[in-house]
Amino acid sequence: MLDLFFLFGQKNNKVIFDVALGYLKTLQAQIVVAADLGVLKNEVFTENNESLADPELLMQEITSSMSALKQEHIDFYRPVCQKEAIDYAQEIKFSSYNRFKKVRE
Amino acid sequence: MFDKYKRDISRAFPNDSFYTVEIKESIARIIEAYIWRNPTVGYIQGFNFLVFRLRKVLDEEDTFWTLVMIIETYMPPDYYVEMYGVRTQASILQKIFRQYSFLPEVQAKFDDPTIQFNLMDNAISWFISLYTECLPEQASL
Repeated sequence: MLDLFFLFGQKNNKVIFDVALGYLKTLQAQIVVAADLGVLKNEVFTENNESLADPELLMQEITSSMSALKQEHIDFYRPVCQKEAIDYAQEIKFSSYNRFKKVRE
Repeated sequence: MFDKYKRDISRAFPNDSFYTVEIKESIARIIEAYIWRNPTVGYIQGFNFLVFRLRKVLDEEDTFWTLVMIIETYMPPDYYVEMYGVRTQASILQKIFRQYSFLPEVQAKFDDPTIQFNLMDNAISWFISLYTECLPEQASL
């Protein structure tokens, strides 16, 4: 994975999404049958999952995601998501400031 | 901040015998050096996994400079700063995943009221660690 970031990195911020989709595709069969959130967190989305042991298989899914996912999809949502991220950070800062103010009072 | 990363170091990859006390001390030095180098980014929980993976294949100094290169050259400039970039990317993933129905059965599972899997929260940790946290060693490097 790190090799992929070195290959594409700054030039193409799409790679992080391609990997996410490839990762979810690889785990799809297990996700669908998972009984609860605990199974998903502790047995599916874990580095010990044997379905992820073969980097070639994972790479195949990432490659197919690369063609399924278009840069336009990402660019369309970027402005609104950036705004959400900034608002969230401001909210966190504001609530920590208020907590600090309360303690001082 | 310094306490936080030390706690994270003691918890990461507990079953891997490569990470001896000496190696963990080395990882702590790398993270601490990065905090001093770039206090704007500082330390974010999840970062440690990336350093752990790099340290397994590189020496201490090379790990540090590779980390610097990843954060300051390869990733977008605001990626780690107050997590703007990471949160933005995770939010985009959540929206495109739902909007374009790439994996409808998976989406249905995430939306299942008895499961309530939050893709965004999980994607944040995948993105911070650049998947080094959730992939086995051979796939993450």
